[in-house]
Amino acid sequence: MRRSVLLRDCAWALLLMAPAVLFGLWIFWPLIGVAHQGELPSYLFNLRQEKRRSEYAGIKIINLDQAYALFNQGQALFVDVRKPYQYEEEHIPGAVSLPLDDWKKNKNTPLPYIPKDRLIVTYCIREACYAHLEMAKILQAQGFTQVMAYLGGFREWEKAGYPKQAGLSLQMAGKK
Amino acid sequence: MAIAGSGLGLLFLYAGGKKYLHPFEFAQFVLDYELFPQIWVGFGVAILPLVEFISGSLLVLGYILGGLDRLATKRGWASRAYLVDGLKRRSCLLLILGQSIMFTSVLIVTLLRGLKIDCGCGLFFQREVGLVPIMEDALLVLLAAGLYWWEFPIGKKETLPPS
Repeated sequence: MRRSVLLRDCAWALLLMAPAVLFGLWIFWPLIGVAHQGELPSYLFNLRQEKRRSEYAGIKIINLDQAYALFNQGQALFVDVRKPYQYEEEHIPGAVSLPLDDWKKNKNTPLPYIPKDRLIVTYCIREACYAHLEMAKILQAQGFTQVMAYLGGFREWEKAGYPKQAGLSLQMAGKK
Repeated sequence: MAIAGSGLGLLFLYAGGKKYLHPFEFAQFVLDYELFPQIWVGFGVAILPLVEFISGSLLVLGYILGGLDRLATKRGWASRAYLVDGLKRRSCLLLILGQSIMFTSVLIVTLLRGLKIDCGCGLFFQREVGLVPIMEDALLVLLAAGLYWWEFPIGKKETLPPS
């Protein structure tokens, strides 16, 4: 009895799955085709690239080499938009923590004591992330004139073996 | 039990709907795990959100109709138990159990491999793979298994559809 009930439940579960499988395959067949050709990562990258071009057109994007050169020159202020605990674990030395989520909650003035013409580089965890672009847009709207977004994010920086440090979160947002 | 079951169903309904509406973000999360060949990722992105959505929504509907049925029986109206049975709550729970086991296993393997990636399992915010998401998914496994055991008709008389 127990076994037959279990078997019947499993059979019904498969039957309930059938419309999900058929509908999913029908809707996402082109995506499966892309994945079959082994081009899914580049396809997704291009989609994000398009989104960046359309939604963040005014933001200057820099790559790893450019970010490292700016870091070495020591003139740019790196702004870490990840969560505070991620910043505390490790971050680019000298970077300040300005989590996008916190800013969205509090809407404080970002970087209140920093001159508006200071060179600022925002970064996130990885390339498939929009928080650094969003923050760059916010900073531009606040009047900062030299804002850039480092696309690869902290994961790429870490992989390249560039300097990093751990430490407490230095929140850089003042009251409105 | 009905509240716990409905909560579980709503969770899967929401998670499935969110993944279905953002398939490319979901695909990137699955790729980041570096665990499956690309073609599997493609099939997973196509099928998994809808399985989550269907199992979750039918489970919720099953509990709602179960409540209505009990109400109807109390008032002496004709029982619609066959309709509730038709929604196959236990089968939905099996599907949810299977998915939860799969998610938990993937998280454990990823944690053991030491990958620092977003788990893609945060319904309301992003989190990295770690012990907390694993515990949460393990809790879902226990809840789905417990509800299935509760619904299992051993020692109970099953309501059969009218012939």
